[in-house]
Amino acid sequence: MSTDRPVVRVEHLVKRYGSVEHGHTAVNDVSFSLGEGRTIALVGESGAGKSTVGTILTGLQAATSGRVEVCGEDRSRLAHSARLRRHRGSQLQIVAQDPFTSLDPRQRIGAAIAEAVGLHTPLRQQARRERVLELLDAVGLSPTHADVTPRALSGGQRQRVAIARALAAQPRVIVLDEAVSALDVSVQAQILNLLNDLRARTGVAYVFITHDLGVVRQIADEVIVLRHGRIVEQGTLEEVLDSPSEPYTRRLIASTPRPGWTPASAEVA
Amino acid sequence: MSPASSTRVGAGAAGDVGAPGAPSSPLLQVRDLNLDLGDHGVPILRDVELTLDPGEALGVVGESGSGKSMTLKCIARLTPPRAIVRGEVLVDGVDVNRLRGKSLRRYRQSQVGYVFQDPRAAINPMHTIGTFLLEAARDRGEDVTAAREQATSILASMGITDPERRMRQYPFEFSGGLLQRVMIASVLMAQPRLLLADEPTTALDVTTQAEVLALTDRLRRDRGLAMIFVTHDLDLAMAVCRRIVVLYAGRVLEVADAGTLQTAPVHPYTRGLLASRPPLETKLPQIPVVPGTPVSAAQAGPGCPFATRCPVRLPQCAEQRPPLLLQGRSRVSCHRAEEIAAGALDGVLPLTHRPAQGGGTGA
Repeated sequence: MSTDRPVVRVEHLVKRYGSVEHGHTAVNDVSFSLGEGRTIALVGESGAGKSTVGTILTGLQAATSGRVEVCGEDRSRLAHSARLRRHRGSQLQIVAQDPFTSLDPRQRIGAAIAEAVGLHTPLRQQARRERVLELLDAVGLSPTHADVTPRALSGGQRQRVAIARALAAQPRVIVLDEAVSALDVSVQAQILNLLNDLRARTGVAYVFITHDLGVVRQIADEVIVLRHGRIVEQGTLEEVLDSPSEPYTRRLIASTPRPGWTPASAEVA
Repeated sequence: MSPASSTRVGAGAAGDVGAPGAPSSPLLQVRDLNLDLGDHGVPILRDVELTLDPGEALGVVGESGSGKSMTLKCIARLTPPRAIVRGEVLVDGVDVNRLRGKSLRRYRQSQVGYVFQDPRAAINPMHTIGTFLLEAARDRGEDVTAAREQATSILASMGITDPERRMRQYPFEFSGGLLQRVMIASVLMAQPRLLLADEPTTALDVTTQAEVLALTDRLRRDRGLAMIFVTHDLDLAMAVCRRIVVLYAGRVLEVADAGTLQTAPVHPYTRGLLASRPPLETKLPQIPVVPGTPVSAAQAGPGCPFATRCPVRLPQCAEQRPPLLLQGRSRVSCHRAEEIAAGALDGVLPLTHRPAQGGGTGA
């Protein structure tokens, strides 16, 4: 497929909760597009509207106005049938922040992944089992992990399972909502490497929601800085992180700890 | 800040502030601290030792299960029920574990201040900020009017505008960063000499985190308030603390000055931890990783707890626990510390992709 057609296109997206006078506008006039196999990072502090954009893309809630296209199809409104939901699910998947609550504690890992394979592919029985093993291998887990429940897994391993479930649909886009934020540093690096590797192998695109600019540097091609629901700055990774034009972006960068950083150096910006 | 408070606290510690290596007696000494929890005695901490001088900031860094929060709880005597604590926690030479009844209450009220990770979970949402701040003074039967004045001036000194109005408000009317300042203010009300901060900024946004840390740093310098800063973020700890203790599976693996740790970390775990933090400045083709996942003290074997994940382990590492010994300017628990310090294992260990800048750290 040609790359000039974006897999995600968001135009003038608005999400408002409550009435026009007394309500709260969580997302205000957000537009961006994402090409095949690219990664766009949505960054910002709490309340910036990052996750709201993610849930609208996923189809968990409808937009108030504006257009949201995934693979050329409008999804600013909710899917009205299970068939449409499944169809949308096979194009775009989500990996949530907390791997301790996103998996069914009583379901074995193999069954959890098989369920996702069954929903999104015509594979049955033996072929499905083989696909589960392939997916476990793709995310760096061993076949024996299929027989355990989430209890037996660490946070990083659970997040690998969540990624395997997302990959089961062979989606064109995965929304990763703070997917590495709850992990230990030494484990976070493993998952970031895995995500970069999977993207190179499958050509999947990522919408990567995070507040951590160090993580953004490692994974994103493009960056959108959000604040109070509005886009503050938007551009390529280098434009936004290396020569930010907005004071707010500069403040975010200056506040990020790194070698030689002190809390006082954040105040200079 | 009331004049009375500043003189009292200032006089006690002013001489020690910013004078590293001063031969003053330490404010806090933790020796051979061991902690087991629950009916079956699950090991949490093993042989932990720490020293803290008055006015010093000490970082305790570790991943989940390392025992960093439990170390703080032992110091504050806030261990959960059925905890078995062995070893000494000496504050001004007094063993905290021997305190009972009224003296324990006084210790918790006025000698140590505890700042929790999530201010919204630690402050009663049903009471006003004023009630929360004055609770301890009321409990001690002190003059509430004076305490109210003190609270107002502390809030004002922390950059909170219109403190009288703020004191009449409820926690839900505060942002996370403001509420964390309120928690720190409540600690300062008692004028402790030791601040125990358990991931105090993890629940905050980055810009707020920088503001709160700048505030605690100023308090340390102005009031001689010593601090133990518990965090999973080694970069953050090095930015605000003079010395760092690296914990893993309930044990101390390395202790060093922030500057030493940054330029010449020794323990393979410290090296791995530093290398695996995604750097802000450079995109790496592959982020160096520590294989596997962190273990807890209960899962660790008889030898070095990091042996199962260590890229340079020897057969003896799984069997014999290396003692914590001086290696250069660090104290390290590793059988290969000498080789690592000499650079002999640089080919195998993750190199810290630190930019070679001369900028020292604060504190």
